[in-house]
Amino acid sequence: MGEGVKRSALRALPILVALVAVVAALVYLLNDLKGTSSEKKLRVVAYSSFISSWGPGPEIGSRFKEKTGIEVEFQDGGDAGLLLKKLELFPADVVIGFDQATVADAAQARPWKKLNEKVTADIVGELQPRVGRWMEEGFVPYDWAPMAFIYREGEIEPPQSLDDLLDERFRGAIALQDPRMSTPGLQFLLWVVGEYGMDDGFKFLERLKSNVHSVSEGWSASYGLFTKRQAKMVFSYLTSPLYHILEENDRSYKAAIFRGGHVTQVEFVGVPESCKQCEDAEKFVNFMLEPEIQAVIMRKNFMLPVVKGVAEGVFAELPASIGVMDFDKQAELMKQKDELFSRWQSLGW
Amino acid sequence: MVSQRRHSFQIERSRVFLGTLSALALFFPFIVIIANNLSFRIPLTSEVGWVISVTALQAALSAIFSIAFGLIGAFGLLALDGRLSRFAEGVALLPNAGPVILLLLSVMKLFPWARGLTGIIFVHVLLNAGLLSVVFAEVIRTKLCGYAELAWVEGATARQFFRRVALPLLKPDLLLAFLFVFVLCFASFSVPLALGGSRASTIEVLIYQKIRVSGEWTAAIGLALLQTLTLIAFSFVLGRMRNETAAPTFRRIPFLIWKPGLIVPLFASLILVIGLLEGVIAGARRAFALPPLMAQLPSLLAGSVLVGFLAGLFTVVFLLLIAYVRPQGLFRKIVTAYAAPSSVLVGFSLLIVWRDLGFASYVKIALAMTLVTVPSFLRFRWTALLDSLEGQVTIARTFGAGPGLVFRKIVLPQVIRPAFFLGGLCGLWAWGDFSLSGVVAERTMTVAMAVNGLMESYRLDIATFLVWFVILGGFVTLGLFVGVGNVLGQKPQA
Repeated sequence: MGEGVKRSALRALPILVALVAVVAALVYLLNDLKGTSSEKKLRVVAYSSFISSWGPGPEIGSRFKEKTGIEVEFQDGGDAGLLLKKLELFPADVVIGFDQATVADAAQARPWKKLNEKVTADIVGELQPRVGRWMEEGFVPYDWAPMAFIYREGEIEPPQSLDDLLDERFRGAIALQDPRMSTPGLQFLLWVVGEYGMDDGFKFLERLKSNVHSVSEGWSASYGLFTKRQAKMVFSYLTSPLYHILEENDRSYKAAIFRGGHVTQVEFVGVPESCKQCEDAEKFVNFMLEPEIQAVIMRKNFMLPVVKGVAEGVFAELPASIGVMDFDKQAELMKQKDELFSRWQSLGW
Repeated sequence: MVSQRRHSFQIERSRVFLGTLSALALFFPFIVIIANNLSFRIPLTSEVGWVISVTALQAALSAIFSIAFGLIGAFGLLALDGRLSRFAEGVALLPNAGPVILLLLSVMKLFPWARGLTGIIFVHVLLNAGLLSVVFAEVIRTKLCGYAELAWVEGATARQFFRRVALPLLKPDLLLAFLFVFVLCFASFSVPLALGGSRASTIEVLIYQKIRVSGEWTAAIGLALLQTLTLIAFSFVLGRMRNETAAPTFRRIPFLIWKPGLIVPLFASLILVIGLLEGVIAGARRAFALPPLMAQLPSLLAGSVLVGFLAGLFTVVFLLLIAYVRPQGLFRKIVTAYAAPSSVLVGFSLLIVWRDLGFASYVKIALAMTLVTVPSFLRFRWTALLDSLEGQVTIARTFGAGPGLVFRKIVLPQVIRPAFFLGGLCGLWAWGDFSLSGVVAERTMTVAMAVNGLMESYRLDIATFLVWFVILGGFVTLGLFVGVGNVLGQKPQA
């Protein structure tokens, strides 16, 4: 009898464990989600690393509530192509995360509130002439960073120009991203083609092949290859060393500064015409440009602030002045996107 | 007599109704997309032609090598007994559990030559050989044991046995395995993306590019349709063969065991573990120093538990529904050949019909995982299992048993264990998914999504630490489903 009961109890154990685990998860999640849906919230759509618990989103949201009493609900929009489609299903008041390569598609896809009159912040000098046309379309820059090759000090003599990348010392050392999948990868392609012209640019890339360690689908994979010491140099943001300084206290990561200047990624925020809490949305956009919030973005997104006076003295490791390349040339090249991608594919990386 | 016929007719009607329901569920993504007037165009360019040929070549070679190594691995697994065997089978499934990127990083480090087409095939074999070893071990236990014993007693050589008995008997399983791996690799995404370079791309990569980068939805839907139709056509050609299975009865016959074969299922897991152990302690230290992540971890774990459990449960329900319906004729062919469209489209079609957020998102992730996974299960295991019961069902029906009674007394007791095993497998994969979840969810809801988010914000070491939760959670889910299946599948004792 005792043996039989013991056997039955043992048999029922998996069911019991499964039930307990699921009920505990349910109770926890229901409790966690309690009160999270409300019509009165400001809906902000952004990419996942911006709104993750360790990203700048949650802190910006709570500070905005402290100041205005308006609650912010962040939603993950995914990449640009997906985000625009998701906006059709889930209307939002604010959209964060277009860059200069995707902002044209966003402008074309739906109408946006014209915010340039309402933005009072003082945008940094290097950016002003370059973002003006997008501000007229309704997109406001909130952070930026030149793109650069990142290396570990002592491991490799850094390049000082695109031509230097062809040097024998970089054989199999460079981790790149596929421009068809990744915006940093696209920036690199635009940089090369912008610098050398279409035909010579692709000849340059052909010669660069032997020095390329890998072409990854996205920035995270290529940066992972670099931090795992499989590649000696990676195309990333000039601000990437800041992550290693702030989070790992490691000062060996450096950005190679090029004499001729760098391509630059600027991230934009916009308010769709279809917004429900439009006034609050405009307040939020201006709030993102306040110096203390710009500092939060700088610290947690590892990008430069767009407002004057915020970065000064904070990141002593960054060079005082970096040449920023023209956006208009990039915009022109983007019109030939299909040809660029097809020629990239024919390189056969 | 009349009332009995009426009752029987009603049950037949319910089978037709449930059959229609299950077909609608299977084709749901395409139905939603068409119903929402999302038009499509198939971009028949030279690029697409090139991609299809490269995709087919890598998928075919990946399948052939996976089968060869899977067979060797199965003989290794059969050399082990009881718990040790179960442990080795769990280890063999490890490469399928976590995000593929982690295996890729380890491969890139340990095998720098693994690039292009060779690299894609190598990683596909690493991913699938372990799974096939487990499956083939089960098939051998089921099919070959009695014959092997007889051949051995009669003094046949191993070569004679394999050429004359084993290969003809295993032919349908090998073809189904080929189909299974071919379809998986044909629709593979992360591996060609990371290792293929610009030339060795796949249709799935093109779909990703069209949706996520250029926002060309009409072209993406067209490509998804093209991919599904190609796979259906391929499955129609290969999937004619009916398979027979029986209850597993294994005795250790020298023909069927080969210990060195164990290297195959353990090799990929070893590579993964080496990669995952590197930096895990530093990752753990840094994770504890990131308070927002630690505060969020309980909710991420609860989310993964729920998604894993629901995905497994939905899979079990779906498979049992198909077992009740027992698809025949054209419906059976379609069910066997159908491949789910791109995961982005499956996720997006769910978003179109169900726009609730919050708790509903967990259910949507699980449903999406089920819709993506179940077609593979149907093709690989389920329809073959149902076919093997046809003889018993026919006899029972001849003796006057109605469909309900047949299902309860004959079908259900024999399919409940494999249904829960496959449900557990879907639960395991749901623990590791972040790409489909990323489309469906409105925020980071599971541990795997957090792993991806951490990798996207420099924190690869913390991601390496968190991925251990994904692996452990996934295997506990699989274990629980197997356990529940065993309990429910036990014969009542007199």
